[in-house]
Amino acid sequence: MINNEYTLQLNNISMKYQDGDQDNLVLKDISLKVKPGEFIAIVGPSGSGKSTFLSISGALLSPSNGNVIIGDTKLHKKESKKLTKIRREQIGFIFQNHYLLPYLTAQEQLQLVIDLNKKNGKPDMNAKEMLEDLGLSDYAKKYPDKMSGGEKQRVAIARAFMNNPDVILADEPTASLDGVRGRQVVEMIKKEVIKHKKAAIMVTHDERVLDLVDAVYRLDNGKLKRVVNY
Amino acid sequence: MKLAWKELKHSKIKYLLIESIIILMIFMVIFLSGLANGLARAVSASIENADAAYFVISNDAENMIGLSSLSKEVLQQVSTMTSDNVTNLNIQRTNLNTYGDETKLDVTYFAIDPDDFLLPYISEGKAISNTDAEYTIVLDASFQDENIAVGDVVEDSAAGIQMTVVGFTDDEMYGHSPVGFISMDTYMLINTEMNPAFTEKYNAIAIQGSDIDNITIEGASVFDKAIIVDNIPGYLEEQLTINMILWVLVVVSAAILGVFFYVITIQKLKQFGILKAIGMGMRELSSMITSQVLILALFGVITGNILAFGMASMLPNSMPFHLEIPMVIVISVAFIIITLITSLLSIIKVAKVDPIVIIGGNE
Repeated sequence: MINNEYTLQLNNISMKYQDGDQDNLVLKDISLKVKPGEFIAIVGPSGSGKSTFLSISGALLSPSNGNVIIGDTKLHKKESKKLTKIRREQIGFIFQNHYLLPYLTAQEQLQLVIDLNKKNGKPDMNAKEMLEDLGLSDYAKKYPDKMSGGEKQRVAIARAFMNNPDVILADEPTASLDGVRGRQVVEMIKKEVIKHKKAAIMVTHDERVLDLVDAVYRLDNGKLKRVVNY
Repeated sequence: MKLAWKELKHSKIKYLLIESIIILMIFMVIFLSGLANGLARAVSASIENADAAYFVISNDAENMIGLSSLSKEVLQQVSTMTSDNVTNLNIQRTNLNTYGDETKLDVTYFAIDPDDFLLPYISEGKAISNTDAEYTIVLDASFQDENIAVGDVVEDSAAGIQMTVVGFTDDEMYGHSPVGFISMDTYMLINTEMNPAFTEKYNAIAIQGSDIDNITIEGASVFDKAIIVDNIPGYLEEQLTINMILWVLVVVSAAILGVFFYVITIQKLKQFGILKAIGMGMRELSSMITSQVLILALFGVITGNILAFGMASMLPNSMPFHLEIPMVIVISVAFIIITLITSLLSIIKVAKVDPIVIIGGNE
């Protein structure tokens, strides 16, 4: 058995890309552990490897070296079919541009994720309750094109929790929103992360929301460092 | 699948436009198949309709029933070699005048034994043997369009023999010419009028059943009906041409649906990326794509068929148009299968989508 104190562990992760003749080392020996209910932020300049870091944490990409442990699943050079299953059952994504499906209502967006996870034995989440919790009851029957940017992002947050995942990963969730709405969205992520006891990582540029998270790490030049005073 | 249907419903206009193209394509293809069959019937209907399974024709005719020539004795010989009914048939193309009218009407005589099984179904009037008139003829219903009615007298243009129209039959054509059934006696009279030395010969001996194994005639052979039909001059050539056009159109129209769908798939690659990122596997995605193509194709096929059959019911009798249900089913099923095959293109494209594209806010 793997130690379950942490729901997300990244151990000595390195990632290199072939760039012409040279190997381009994007992540250099990164380790990070996140406990249930803990919400951490990753900041860093563009090109510092934030997206690669998030893709590896989210089973979208296998690292060149090191391993990722999500819940009690150890991920190391898994074939893509298993990665798909891990994403479906153990990871909740919140993307930069909400990325809701245009042809589903808010409620159906959530139901889709619940339906995908019918057979995994975990207790079902309640889509209605979640929408209510995020102040979206009036939007349950509406399509994304009838919602504002903030509302769409809130639906996307609700969707990320619908598979009852171990880990919530947010990719610049405030990028397309103004300051006030951006802050509301991060507050909601925080609220749900604590309520449902998920380990959460948010990649962000937005310095104004960093006071809402439990810890801030800076990714610079492929290295991850904890920021003590933010 | 629920997701497939919800998307079609949400982008109604887009998919209805595609659907309308599919419907028109199917309509065109089914309609063309009706014309193909119609033309086939215009050449072969009277042979197809004949209640005979096999025909004996002479070897020197190269399978062409019209060129065959058998002496009277062959009929006797054949009848002793099979347990089935046999009867003689003569086919002669000529023309008729209506009484007191100079206009010649194209006709092909089927000279038969009026008491035997080649007598056609009589849709109006009486059969050739059941009347008091001396020389009688039963005409294809298309002659009614020339204002000929039961009881009228028509004249063989070449021999000048007058015949009373005693009845009409439906859908009797041979080599694009409408058929008139006459008795062997009438046929002999017409031909001896033109050539006093004419002796009784037959084009073919028709066999009603399939007991043909013991039939061996010197200078003649037994052929089944399909071979006789295929060898009516022009039949095979026409059918090959039209069926070629037909199947090329089936393939092209099904491929067009596949290509349209591929273009739509390319527009939606990011959506497929999202679905993959939240853990939808290729099996679910393929079944979503396949069910959408299937819904579009099925709906198009059904509506296109309804249109084609509706149109068929409004066409005039003289138009060579004949929808054959088995052919329509084959075309419809082939269309659906080909669209499903072309949808593989979209599935392969989706399989190649890496869900990582949606991380980092790539627009």
